[in-house]
Amino acid sequence: MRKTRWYILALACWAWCQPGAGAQTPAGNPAAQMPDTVGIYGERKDTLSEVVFTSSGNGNFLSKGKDIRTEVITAAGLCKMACCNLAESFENSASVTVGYSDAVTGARQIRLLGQNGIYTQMLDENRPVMRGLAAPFGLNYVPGQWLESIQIAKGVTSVINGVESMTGQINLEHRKPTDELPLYVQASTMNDTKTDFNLASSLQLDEEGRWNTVLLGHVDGNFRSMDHNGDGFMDDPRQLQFNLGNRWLYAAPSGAQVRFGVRAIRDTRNGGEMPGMTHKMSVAWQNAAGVREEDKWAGRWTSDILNQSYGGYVKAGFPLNEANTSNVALVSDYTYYKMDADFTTRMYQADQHSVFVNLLYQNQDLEQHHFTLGISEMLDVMGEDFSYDVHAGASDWDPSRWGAQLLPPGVGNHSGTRLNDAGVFGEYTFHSADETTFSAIVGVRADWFNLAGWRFSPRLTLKWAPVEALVFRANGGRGLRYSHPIVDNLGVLSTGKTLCGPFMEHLLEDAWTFGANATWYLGSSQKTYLSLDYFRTRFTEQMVLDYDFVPDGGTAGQAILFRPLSQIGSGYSHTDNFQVDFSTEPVAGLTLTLTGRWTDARQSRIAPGATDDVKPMTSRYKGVFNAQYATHLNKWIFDFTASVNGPCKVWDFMRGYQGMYQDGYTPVYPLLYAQVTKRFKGVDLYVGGENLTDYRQPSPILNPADPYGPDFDASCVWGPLMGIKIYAGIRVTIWRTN
Amino acid sequence: MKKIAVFVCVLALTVAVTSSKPKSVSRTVVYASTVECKNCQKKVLENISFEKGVRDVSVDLPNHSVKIVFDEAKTDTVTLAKAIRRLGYEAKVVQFE
Repeated sequence: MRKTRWYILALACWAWCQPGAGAQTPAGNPAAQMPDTVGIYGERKDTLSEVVFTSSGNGNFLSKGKDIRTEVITAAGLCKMACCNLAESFENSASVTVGYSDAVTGARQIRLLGQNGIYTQMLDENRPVMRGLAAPFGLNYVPGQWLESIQIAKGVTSVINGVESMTGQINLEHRKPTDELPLYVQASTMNDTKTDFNLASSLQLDEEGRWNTVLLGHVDGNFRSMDHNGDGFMDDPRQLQFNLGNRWLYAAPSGAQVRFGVRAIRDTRNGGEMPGMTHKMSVAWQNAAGVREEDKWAGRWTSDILNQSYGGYVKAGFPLNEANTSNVALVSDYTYYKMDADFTTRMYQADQHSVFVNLLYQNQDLEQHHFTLGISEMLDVMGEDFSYDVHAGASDWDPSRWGAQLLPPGVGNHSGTRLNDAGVFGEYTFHSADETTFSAIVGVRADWFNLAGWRFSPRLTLKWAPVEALVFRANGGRGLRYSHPIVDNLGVLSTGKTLCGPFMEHLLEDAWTFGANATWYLGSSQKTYLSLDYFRTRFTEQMVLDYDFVPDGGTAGQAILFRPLSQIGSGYSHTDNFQVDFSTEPVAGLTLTLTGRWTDARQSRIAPGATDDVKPMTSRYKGVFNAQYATHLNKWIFDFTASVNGPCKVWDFMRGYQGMYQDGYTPVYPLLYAQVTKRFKGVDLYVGGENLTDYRQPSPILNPADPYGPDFDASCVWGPLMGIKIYAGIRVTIWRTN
Repeated sequence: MKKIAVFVCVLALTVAVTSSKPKSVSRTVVYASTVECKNCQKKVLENISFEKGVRDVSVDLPNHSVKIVFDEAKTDTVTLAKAIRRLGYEAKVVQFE
């Protein structure tokens, strides 16, 4: 701790002492004017490349220029919430729903188009990130204050970044090495003792602007454990995270650019029961033959998780002619991720080496016709060691009828699993002569998956603007990814249920998504618009879970079955999504947005007698209203967000639990957020509140009194776990000056 | 909750009182500058907005100019030019009203 403190202090001093004399504008350096995404890939219109600098304080908006329907969260939008991490950045968005994986680990997950966030491809400046083992906590490890903007694209996107985008793509643009910000510091604290500290320092190391770097640091943690609902479990785990990043840009006079960087994360989380708890073991255990009296008692149930990650990347772009209409680019990334999770009765220890390499050739010699060709390699080498206590009664079950395997304790040891996706791709883009009226992008990929063979993935994006105020978009295509049944559904570790089925296998999931969008801009300003969109995602293969599976001889609510969709007779899994967005600026400085999303998610049920095919634990609708008022020159900013969150169907075994969910659905609940920011020169002070209605999911943990029993379940989370939160923070910005 | 309500009221009153002060004479100056990129634009807006006496500021990137509306009683064109130069950009008065 002491070393870390000294390091941060030294870094701050160094940044502060950087000579500003002779500070030259980076205007002569083209790299200074483009985000990393554009710098390497060229100014594509279908990928997510745009960084929006805004002085109006407008936080979220739909991009007019993009070929694909894209919601942009700007730096101003990232300041609207406490935004400790990426997950919280989406609270203002109806497109993305944010929730918890379970009630003990604090892991956040998102949903896009009604599907789990694992089907949304996450990109860090067009490098795929948060994959496999890194997915469950990935959103917690991107500090909001490190970001310059976020772009959310719905539907399948460009083939250039791989084939894993099924429901959409979220691209993160970090603070840039070329920003003339030698020091940016943010610190905030909440009433629940959660404290955040962020630091960013962008430095230009020579007069010509060739060498540029940005140092990024983040520490967050909480100091107290709370149990507001009195169930004996901590509402949030005790947690401490260290996160460091360093990004570089070298811009050669020839136009060649090399970007590289390193990253390190370490996070500890200690959740579960409050200190001092003891339990009598389950009745079945106590009655089992040969159990000694002293073994019938257990200590408190805890979840202790240590996550570590290290990685680096290199991106290089080389122009092949003076006008840079033809170029080659190399994008490579290596990440090591290690998860050590101890859930008292379940242990999951895993590590993952991930390598991504993308080699592209781009040609824009003809103004209206662009094409890109490339090859890519995505390799994950995983080791998984999973063991858990099967409750005594489960040994009598007969799994054979379901074709399911019942894993005995200690058997789930898979080391050196290789998941390989080698691909070749091409993309053709046509733009009308005026570049705005019409565009078409046709992309194809052929990927070889070592566990499934060759797959062909076509994708199409169309945009048509018959008049300036009206834009129609459509896109569709195929997405593929390897499933990671345990980490994709991390909540299963915080249950007492017996797992059945191929939950250690990596199935190649396969989905097609098609959608359309119409946006009507009202008046001369792009700030007033009405947007409608519809998307449908249909899986042809998916690892499906069923919490209502009852094995022969078993009891409802004591097992979870994993099963490939293709093995369910006439199995199907699809979602339909409708969304309406309206945004306007009725008077200068006042921005109002109103968004509504309706989702119909259906999935074949495995359990006989299941009530219907509505996909459980998926919210039916969400409405968001946001009002923001900024005084002239943004010296005061007031922000208010209200959302109404629709019901989701619960698993059948939850019906009637403690008198709840009688109709099989969760209640509708509201959430309110407010924030006031006062800005001075170089200093922002802000106070705010989250979940101001203090709504909390009642009894989020099922059977908390018996965490060693088969009915214990902390994974059925649909609402807020924490009540009202009040926070205050400060942002200090020091610009480079002469 | 009560404390938050009181805080919001105080903020609202402060804003109201500030905005109800009598207005003094505004002047407008346009500087030719070396501001050429969006990053530069952001830097100028974020800094010049908080200079004493500045009532409005805008950056015209295509024409490389910075337009400032200011309170003549609180600042002048020389002070504002210095503030722009301190950020690393040239500032030469091309229009003053």
